[in-house]
Amino acid sequence: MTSLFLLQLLNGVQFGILLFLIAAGLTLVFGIMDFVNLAHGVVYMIGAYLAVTFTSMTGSYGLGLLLTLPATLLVGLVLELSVFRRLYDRPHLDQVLATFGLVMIITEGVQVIWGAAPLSVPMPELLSGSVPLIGAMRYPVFRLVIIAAGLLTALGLYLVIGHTRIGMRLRAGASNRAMVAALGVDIGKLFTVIFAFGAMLAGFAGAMVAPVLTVDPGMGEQVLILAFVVIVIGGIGSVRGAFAGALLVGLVDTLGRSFGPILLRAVMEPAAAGQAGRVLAPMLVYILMAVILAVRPSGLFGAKT
Amino acid sequence: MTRLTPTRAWAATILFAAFAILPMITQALGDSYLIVIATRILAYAIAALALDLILGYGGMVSFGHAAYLGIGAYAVAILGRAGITDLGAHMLAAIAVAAVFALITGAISLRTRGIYFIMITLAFAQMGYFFFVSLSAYGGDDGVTLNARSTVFGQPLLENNTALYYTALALLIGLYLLAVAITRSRFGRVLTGARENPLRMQAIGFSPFRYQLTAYVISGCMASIAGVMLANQASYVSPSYMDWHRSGELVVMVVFGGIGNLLGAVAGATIALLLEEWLALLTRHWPILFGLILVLVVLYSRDGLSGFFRSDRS
Amino acid sequence: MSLLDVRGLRKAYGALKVTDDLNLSVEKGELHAIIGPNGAGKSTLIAQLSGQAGSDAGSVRFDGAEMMGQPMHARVRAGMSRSFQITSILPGFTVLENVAAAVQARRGSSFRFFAPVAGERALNDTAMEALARVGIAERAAMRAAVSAMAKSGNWNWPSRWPPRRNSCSWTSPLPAPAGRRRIAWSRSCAASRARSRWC
Repeated sequence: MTSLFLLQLLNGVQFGILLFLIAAGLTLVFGIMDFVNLAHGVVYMIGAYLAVTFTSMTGSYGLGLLLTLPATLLVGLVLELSVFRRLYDRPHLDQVLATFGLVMIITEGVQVIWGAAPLSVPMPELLSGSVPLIGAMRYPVFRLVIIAAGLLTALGLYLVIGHTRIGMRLRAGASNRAMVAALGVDIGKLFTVIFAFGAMLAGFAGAMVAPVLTVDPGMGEQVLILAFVVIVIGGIGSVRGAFAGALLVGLVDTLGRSFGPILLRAVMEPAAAGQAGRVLAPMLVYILMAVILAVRPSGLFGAKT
Repeated sequence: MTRLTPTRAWAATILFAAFAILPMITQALGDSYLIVIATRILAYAIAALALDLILGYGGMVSFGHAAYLGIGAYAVAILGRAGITDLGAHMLAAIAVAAVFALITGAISLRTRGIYFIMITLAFAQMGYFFFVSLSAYGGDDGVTLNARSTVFGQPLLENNTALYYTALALLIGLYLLAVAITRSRFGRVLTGARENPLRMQAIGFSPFRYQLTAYVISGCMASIAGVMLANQASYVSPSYMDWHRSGELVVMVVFGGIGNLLGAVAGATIALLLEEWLALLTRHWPILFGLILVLVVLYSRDGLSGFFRSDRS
Repeated sequence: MSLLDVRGLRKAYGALKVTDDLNLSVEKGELHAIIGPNGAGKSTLIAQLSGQAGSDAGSVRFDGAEMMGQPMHARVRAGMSRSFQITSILPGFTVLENVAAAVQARRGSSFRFFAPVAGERALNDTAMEALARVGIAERAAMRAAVSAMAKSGNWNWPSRWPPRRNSCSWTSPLPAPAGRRRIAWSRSCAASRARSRWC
C-alpha cells in the first residue's frame, strides 16, 4: 500500500510537472498581455508530433528533442506575428474566437499531415530502464527524467524571472503594462519574446511526453483545459502559482483516480464505491478549483482584486 | 436595450414564417435529409438564443454552455430508460438539473471577471463532460442510443420528423418571445446596466451579482431545452454534446448573428450550421476552412467580429 | 445622534496607512468638504464610506445603523450615495433610462421579467421630473454616451433623484493615489473594460 502510494505520488508529480510546463507559458501570456489563448494546447500537440518526425528523421530521440525546441519557438513566433499581435487590443471575445479558429485549423491540419491514427516515439534505450524504489517496487527512469527536466525548467524560470533584466521587465509588465511602455520598454517586442518562449515550453512538454503517451490529435485539448484550471488555481500571471497549482492538480488527479475508490470503500459497499469513485475522480480537480475560487477568487498567488 | 421596432418584429415574423413553411418545400423536393438538418438548426438556435441572453445583454462570455445541451440530452436518455417518456417530464427534469448546475457553477464563476470567467465556465463544462464519460451505465464515452423519442400525452407523435420539427419551432418561438420580454423588463434593464457599468449600478443601489446569476440560471435552463430537442432529433446521446468545441460553436453562432440581438442568434445558428454542412460537402477536412473563415473575419473586420456584426448598437 | 458617524476608521495598503484612525461626524443638514494634497487619501476615504473599498477597522454608522461590512448597494439603499469625479454613466442607455434606472432601484422589485419597463409611467415621470430640474429634459431620448452633458460632472446629480429625507452624498474631487500596484491594476482593467463591453 505505501509503495503503491509512493508510486502514484511520483506519477502525480510527473503529471503536475508536465502541466506546469504548459501552464507557465500560458499564465505569462494571460497575465502580462491580458490575452485568452485557446491555441496553447495545440502547440503542445505540435511539439509531440514534431518530436515524432525529428526522431524518425535523425534516428535519435535526443536530437529530435533538440530540434523540436527551436521549431516550436518558430511556431510561436509565426503565430504571434501573424495572428496574436493583432488581437491584443481586442475584446476577450474576439481573442477567444480567433484562437478557437486556430485550434480548428491546427487540429485538423495535423491530421492532414500526420494522419488521424495515434503515433508514438520509441523510448530511448539509455532511459528505458527502471530504478528500484522500495523493496520490489521499480520506477521507470524516463518518468524520473521528465520530473527532473521539469524541475530544472522551473528553476531556470525562477532565475530568469527573478534575476535578469528581461525577467524584471516581465514582472513589471505583469503588474503594470502601461507603465512599462511609458518607461521606454518596447512592449511589442517583449510580448513576442514571451509568446514564443511560452510556445517553446509547451512544445518541450509535448516532446517530453511523446515516448510515454500516444501522440494523437486530441492530446492538446484535455491538457489545455487542465492548464486553465492550474492557472485559475495558481492566480493569473504568477509562475510560482502555476507551479503550485500544477503540482496540486497533478497530485489530486492522479491520487484521486487511484485511491478515491479505495477510500470510498471504507464508507460504502465495494461495488457502489467503485462506481462512485470512477464518476467522482475525474471531477475532483474541478471541485478543487471551485473550492479554491470560493475562498480566494483570484487564486492562490494572484493579486487580490 | 432591445427595442421591438417594427423592423425587428417584421424580421422575426419573416424568419419564423420561413421556418414554418420549410417542411412543405422539403416535401415538394422530396429531400428528407433537409428536415433533419433544419431540426438541428432549430435546436442550436434555442441554445444560441440562451447564450445571447447572457453574452449579449449580460456581458458574460460563457465558454461552457454546451454543458446544458448535455444535461438536456441525458435527461431524455436517463428518464427514458427509467420508463418515463413524456416530453414535458423530460423538459422539466432538464430544466431542474440545469438550474441547479447553473446556480452552483454560476455563483462561483461570477465571483470573477474577464478571462477568469471564460476559463472557469469552460472548466465546469469539462467537469460535466467527464461526469458523463464515466457514467458507464449510459455508454460512457460511446454514449447510448435512445429506444424511442419522447412521447406527448402518451403518444409517440415525435417519431414523425415533421412533428418533431414543428415542436422544436414552437419551442424556439416561445423562448424567443420570452427572451425578448425579459430583455425589455425591469430585470432586463438592470442586467444590461450591469454590463454597461457595474460600478454605476451599485452606486444607484443594485447588486449586479444577483441579477447576473439569475440571468445565468435562466440561460442555462433555456439551453437545456435545446439539449432535449437534440437528443430526440438524433435518437442518440453521448458526452460529445458537452465537448468544449460545442461551446465554442455556440459562441460563434451568437457572434455570427450579431451579439445582443436575440433574432441574430437564431440567424447565426442557421448560418453557422449551413456553412458547416456546405464546407463538409467540399472537403473532409472542413474544420480547416471553417477555422480560417473565423480567424480572417475576426482579424479583418474593423472593430473585430463583435463590432462587425453588431447590429443595433450605433 | 449624528446622521453620519465614523469611528476609528483605518485602511492601509501594505505599509502605507492611507486612513489612520479617522473619526468624523456629520449632522443632518450639514455640508462638509474634505481637502488635502494629492495622495492624501480623500478618494480612499470616500470609497471606504460608500463601501466601494473595504476597511481594515472602524465603524461607519449612518442614521444609527452600522454600515461596516455592508456592500455598496446596500449602503445606497440605506440613503448614502456617492458621485464620481470621472463621469460614470450607462453609456448605451438613453439619458432618461439612466435616471429611470436609479428611480427603479428605489421603487419595487426589479425581479420582474415580463412587463416592459419602458412603459412604466411612474418611473419615467419621476425621471423626467429630475431631468427637468437640472435642465436637460430635452436630451431625455438621447443616448447618454452621445449627450454632451456626459462630459460634465453635473450629470451625476439627477441620478440620485429623488432625494431622501435622510440622505448624504459626496463627490471626490481628486484622483486616486497612483503608483499603488493594486489600484493601478484595477484601473487598467477598468479602462480595458470601458473599451470593450466584453471584458
